[in-house]
Amino acid sequence: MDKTIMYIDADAFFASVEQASRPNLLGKPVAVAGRNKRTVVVASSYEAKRLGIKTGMTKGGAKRTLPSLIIVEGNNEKYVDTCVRINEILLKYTPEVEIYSIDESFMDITGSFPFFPSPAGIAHAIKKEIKDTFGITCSIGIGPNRLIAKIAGESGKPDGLVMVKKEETRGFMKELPVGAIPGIGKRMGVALKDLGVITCGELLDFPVSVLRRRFGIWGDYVSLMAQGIEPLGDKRSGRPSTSIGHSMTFEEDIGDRATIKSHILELSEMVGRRLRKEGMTARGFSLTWRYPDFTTYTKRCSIPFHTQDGKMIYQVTGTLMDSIRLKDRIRLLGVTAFNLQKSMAISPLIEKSDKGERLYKVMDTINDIFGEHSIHRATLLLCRKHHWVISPAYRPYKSYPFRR
Amino acid sequence: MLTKIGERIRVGVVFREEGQKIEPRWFLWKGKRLTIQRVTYRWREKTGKELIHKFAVTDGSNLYELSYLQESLLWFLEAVETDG
Repeated sequence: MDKTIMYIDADAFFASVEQASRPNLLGKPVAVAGRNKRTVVVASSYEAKRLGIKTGMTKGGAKRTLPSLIIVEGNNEKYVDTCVRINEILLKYTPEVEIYSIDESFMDITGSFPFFPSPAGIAHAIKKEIKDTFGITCSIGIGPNRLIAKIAGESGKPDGLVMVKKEETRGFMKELPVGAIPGIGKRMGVALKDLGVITCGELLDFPVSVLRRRFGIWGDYVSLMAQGIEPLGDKRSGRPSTSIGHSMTFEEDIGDRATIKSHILELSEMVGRRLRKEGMTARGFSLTWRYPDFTTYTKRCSIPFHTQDGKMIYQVTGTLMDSIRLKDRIRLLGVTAFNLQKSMAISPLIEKSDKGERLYKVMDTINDIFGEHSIHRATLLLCRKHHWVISPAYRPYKSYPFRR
Repeated sequence: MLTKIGERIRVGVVFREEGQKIEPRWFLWKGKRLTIQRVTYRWREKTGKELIHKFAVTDGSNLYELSYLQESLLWFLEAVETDG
């Protein structure tokens, strides 16, 4: 039996959830952003998109573009819970469900056909249940692999259902612009255009050797993808995170080094907490800073061992900050951990050398029981509490946190 | 406009499916009994170990956000959104 993959993407997810919970927002241009007056738009309703609102616009910029825009404060837990509950619906049809991001999931429904009528039947049932339960719509793509399913799903937005059979793959891909292939961004799209390649059909006929010379291994990948072949197979499904990071935009630009470093400590502690929650350790860390003119820089550093200790992360990122001569005040700071691996319990060779680790264990337990920030380093009292909204690319790391 | 309230309230509620489905029907606020016409959205949040059930409800004219703390068995009116 041919493999059948279904891709489900909630349309304008955060904005749709807000419109469903607040019916007075229905049919109006809505954007979701953080509470901070200088945060950016993370999602917008189709009404807003049609009128020029784009993800990543500053709140002020979005308001200037569209004065009638309604900006709503995002609610992370509402979106994560909705994502979990949508995936509970998907699990009724197959146990092979992968949460790809907060608003996207893949299902392998190959084994579901003896129990359900057809792929289209399953898709219609899912769309109906999501609409009835949450009042939001989703787009579904069905294909012989994840790549085709995703491209099909994206092509039918909003509220669409597009099915591509294995034998229809080449024909389906041929007319699509190269930008429809996941991974081909604006820059690569321009580079391909310079080579005279605009559609997937043209990409298909283009010599792979030239693509490889121009883009390295990605040249081979995009050539395969233009044929509807997933170059990495399903090796990337259920993949662990490759990096974990947090960033914050300040209400006012900051220039004082002590304040900057207290925020770096805060971000480092947040990254450390997430590493521990996900059972990961990292040995690479980066510090990102943005000036008021939006020029953004990142500096990276690797250490010889893996850690999930917020203080250790701060020592690395704080040192990175010390090595920088700032040319202006700072608008945004970010800390990211990369080179991740699963954490392993190792007995300390020197007695009491695991004091820090034990301290974090106790702090994590207290925060798990009484809520985040119940206990934290006293230095962080200098930092004001931030309200941030997760990125739509966020993937809930525990699929079913509320299941009893 | 959304106004934060954070007041403890009394709620009339139907628990169905062995407590898995919670349906608030009315609540008392400022000496008035407000009948819930529709639950527009429901979601769950966690503060530490406490599971909180959140409800966006409407009485036909305003939108209210209610929360039910599962461990402490308390109901709160979190916010109210009036037209305009």
